[in-house]
Amino acid sequence: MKLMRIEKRKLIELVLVVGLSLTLTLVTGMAGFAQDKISLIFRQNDSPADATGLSEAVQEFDRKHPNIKVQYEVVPWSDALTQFVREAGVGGGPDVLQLAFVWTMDLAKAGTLVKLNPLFEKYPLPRGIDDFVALELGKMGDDVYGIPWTTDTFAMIYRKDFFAKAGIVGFPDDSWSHFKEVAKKLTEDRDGDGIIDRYGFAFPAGSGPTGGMWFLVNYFIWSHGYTFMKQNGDGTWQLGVDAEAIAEAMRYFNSFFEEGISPRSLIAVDSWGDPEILHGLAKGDFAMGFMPPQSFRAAMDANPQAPLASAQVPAGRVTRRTHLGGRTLAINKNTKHLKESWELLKWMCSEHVFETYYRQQFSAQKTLLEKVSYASEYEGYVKLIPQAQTFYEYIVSPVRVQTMWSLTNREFAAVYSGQKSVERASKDLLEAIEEALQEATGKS
Amino acid sequence: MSSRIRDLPVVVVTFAIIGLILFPFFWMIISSLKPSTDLLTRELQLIGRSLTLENYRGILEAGFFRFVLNSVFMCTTATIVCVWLISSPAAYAISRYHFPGRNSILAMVGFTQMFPWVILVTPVFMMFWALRLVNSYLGLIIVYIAITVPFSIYMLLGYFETIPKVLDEAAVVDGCSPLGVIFRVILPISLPGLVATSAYTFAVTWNEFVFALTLMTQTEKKTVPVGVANFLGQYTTDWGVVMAASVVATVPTVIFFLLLQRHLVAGLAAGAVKQ
Amino acid sequence: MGKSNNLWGRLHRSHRPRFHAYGLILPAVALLVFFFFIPSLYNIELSLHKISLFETAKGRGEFVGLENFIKVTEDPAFYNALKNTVLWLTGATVVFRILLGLGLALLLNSKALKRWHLAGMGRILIFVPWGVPPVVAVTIWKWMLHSRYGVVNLTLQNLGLIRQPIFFLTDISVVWLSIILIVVWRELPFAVVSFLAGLQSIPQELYEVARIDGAGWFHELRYVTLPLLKPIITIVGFMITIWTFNNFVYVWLSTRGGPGDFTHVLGTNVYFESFVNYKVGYGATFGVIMTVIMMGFALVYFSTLFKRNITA
Repeated sequence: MKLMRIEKRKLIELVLVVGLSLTLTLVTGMAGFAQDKISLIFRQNDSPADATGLSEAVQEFDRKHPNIKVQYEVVPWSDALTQFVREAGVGGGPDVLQLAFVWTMDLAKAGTLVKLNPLFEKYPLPRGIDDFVALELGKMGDDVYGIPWTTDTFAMIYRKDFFAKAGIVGFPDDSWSHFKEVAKKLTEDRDGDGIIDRYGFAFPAGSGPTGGMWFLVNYFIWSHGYTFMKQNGDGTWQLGVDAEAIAEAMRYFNSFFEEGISPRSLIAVDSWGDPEILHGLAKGDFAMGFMPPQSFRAAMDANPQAPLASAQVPAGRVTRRTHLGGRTLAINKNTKHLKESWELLKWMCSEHVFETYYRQQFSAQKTLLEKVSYASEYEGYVKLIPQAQTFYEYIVSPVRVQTMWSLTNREFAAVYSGQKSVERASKDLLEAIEEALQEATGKS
Repeated sequence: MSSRIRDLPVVVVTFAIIGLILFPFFWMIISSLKPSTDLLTRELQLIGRSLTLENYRGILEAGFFRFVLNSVFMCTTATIVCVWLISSPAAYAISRYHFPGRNSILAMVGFTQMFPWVILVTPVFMMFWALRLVNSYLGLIIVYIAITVPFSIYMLLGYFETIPKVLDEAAVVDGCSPLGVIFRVILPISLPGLVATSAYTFAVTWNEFVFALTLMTQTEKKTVPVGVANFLGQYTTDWGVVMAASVVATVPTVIFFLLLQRHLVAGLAAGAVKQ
Repeated sequence: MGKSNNLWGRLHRSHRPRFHAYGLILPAVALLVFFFFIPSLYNIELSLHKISLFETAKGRGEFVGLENFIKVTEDPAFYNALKNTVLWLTGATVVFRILLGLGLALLLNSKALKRWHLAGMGRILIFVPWGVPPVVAVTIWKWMLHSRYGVVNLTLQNLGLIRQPIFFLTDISVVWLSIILIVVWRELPFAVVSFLAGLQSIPQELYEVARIDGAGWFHELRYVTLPLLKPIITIVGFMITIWTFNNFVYVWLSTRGGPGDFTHVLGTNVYFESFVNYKVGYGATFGVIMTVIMMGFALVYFSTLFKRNITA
């Protein structure tokens, strides 16, 4: 009977714990209803280190609008699109959200975003809608569905001290072969033990679907006069590159691994902001790299003493082109507070926010971009941005950018790892894109 | 004494293996105490030249402590409800009664383990949205109960089978209801089995990622694994901070296991007989 | 315990045990139907449609019947992933876990450890990897296996065992070994603890009898331990097989299916088709096929074992 009493006490404890937990759940759940302010959700996708200041910007907006309370949400890039589509389908989601340039049009077509024309006509932007670069990416006809928020491009990064020591004057941006020559010259086995101590060039060569190889491949083929997607005069689309041109790019980048200019560990690196690349440049394990300005800044922060600088991407036979990337802000079709959402979107794009809070990013407005005084380290970016072009032709083409992106990374990494020959991988890549094109246009 | 010396090889081999198995865990702790710039070094150093708690300050500032509280609260609640209130009665019924559909129910419990969970995410999100269970503690607790009920039933079933039926029959003769039998007779003597099952449930819910990511978008409701993933950035990733977050994500379950260890093995032992 | 006046008591006395059974099992069954079965129906429906991720926001896409299933059977990526899933991700890791798990369980259960009063400590420590979330486990291993900064390569190089580093995650000759290492490390404790539990439930008298018969260590293992452990090996083998078969986290986080598509498994294919290629219907088809394969496996596995038990 004594045993029974103990068990009874345990049972009571159990019931208490469960009861308390459920009450707590309910209470925290109810807390949201206790206010009559307009509640907005602002969602962005960057990690805390990449988005410093943003939550403070939201807080200042709250203070300026006593009738609005903004909730600041973070969903990582890798899941942001899927999550929003799920929410949009059931009538939920954030009010104002951050999107990758390449998602905007697809989401607009799917009917998940608000047409913004009536809003900026009634409550205009301070410098007008035409002040934004890359506006065409969020447009269908004349209808605007996304406001370009931030923008960037990729540039080459190098260590000035290593260049000086090796007697190299000026960055080798005149040709890809010259670039490789210099990269090889900068590669060094200081103690002669057969293990390389400093590699010439660091680039993200991973096979992940959102890895950075895609950009480097495009820059290379663009500069040789090719492009993945090309529109014919009659409006139909076709591949603007052949197997030989792809094979040339594959052979070029693979030679960095074969000749020991880049370490094979990079075949596992997807992100341009990977610590191996950033810290490697900061510490001097690499002489050159390839990344957007936000990552460049992180590399400089990792070692303020390292004499890093940026330079242009090498030119090829034809034109010199890099891509203009970035993010848009859009309003969810399901929002119940259109005017307030627009107010918030305008605030996030304002000069004040970029000057005071969101300082690590570059605004997508021409007048603001012109105003920024860049430190000399950013020279490469400053030169490249005016020449950069968006992925517009890819975005409006029948094949999704993400499909070409993931296929490219996969086939290039297959070559680097020795899984496929250059001939086979270049053929496979073209056939897969061709197949996606036929499937999308219904000619199968 | 001589037998103890003859035992020495076995002891050494066992702890050498355990040492190897534990090494990644130690390495994670050591890495979390190094400044980020010291992490990428080609020198082999067991303990870094300078130890720092900077990385832990970093995760505190990012609100990671809140994620730990959320996880502890939801995982504990789900574990208790799953094991004590839902799985135990079900396992008891399957163990003691013979009723039509018993085998189908057993098959159904097995069937639930055959999905890749990633395909459940979208439909579950749609249903939970309709029921207002998105961004709700209750919602994620329900998910955690659902994903752990099948294996809990199975574990408890094995355990209950080892308990002589005479015991519950005696209680019934005393006028005890089925729930009374379960809560007053079966569960008290099944404590080791319950503990083992709870440990399993807690570990699975603590480590769950996809549902937590999808159903909890509000920052103040996120869980630990989602919090860790949030530190992996697009432009830059601070590995020291990721390691510190990893340590915090791991230590609570390890402590939980250590506290329950004695019951755990005993519980599984008893359950194992009839399987 | 005179609680005979409540509803349960009265029903019980009226001899309706069936009713009780259903009542007790109802919450669990309701939950499983709600959480697993309704979503799986949705998924089967998706697999019969051609639908992009974006279209899921407003409808079901175009009904195409079994077209997705036919496409899967013609898709070389499916066979590549199937081979990788069966052979490497599941087959190799399950075998390693059972063998290593048995070995460690035997060591931890040995009298030697008990005489040193270290058995308890050993059992505590063996649990640690199970407390590490998979996302953390992969992160730490990627870190340790890094070809230039990783502790594994640096140690091997310092010991003079290798000169050039091993590219654990990018060299196709070792990448599967690396993934297997990660999976086995994280999932080994479950096998060890289950086997340990089984060992403890073997009556000591059986060993004493065997010893009187003059059986050595190996004979004890062969004729006492293993036969008595067989039921638990069977069931643990089954559970870890189906769990691993459906898992995509380890491969996705460690290699994203790369280099190239060298380590793609069925689980990563579901994710890749649905959320990277945005072909939700096609991804769902992979999911349905995986469930069917596992059900077939369960059927064969248990019917074979059952037959053996009868003939034995």
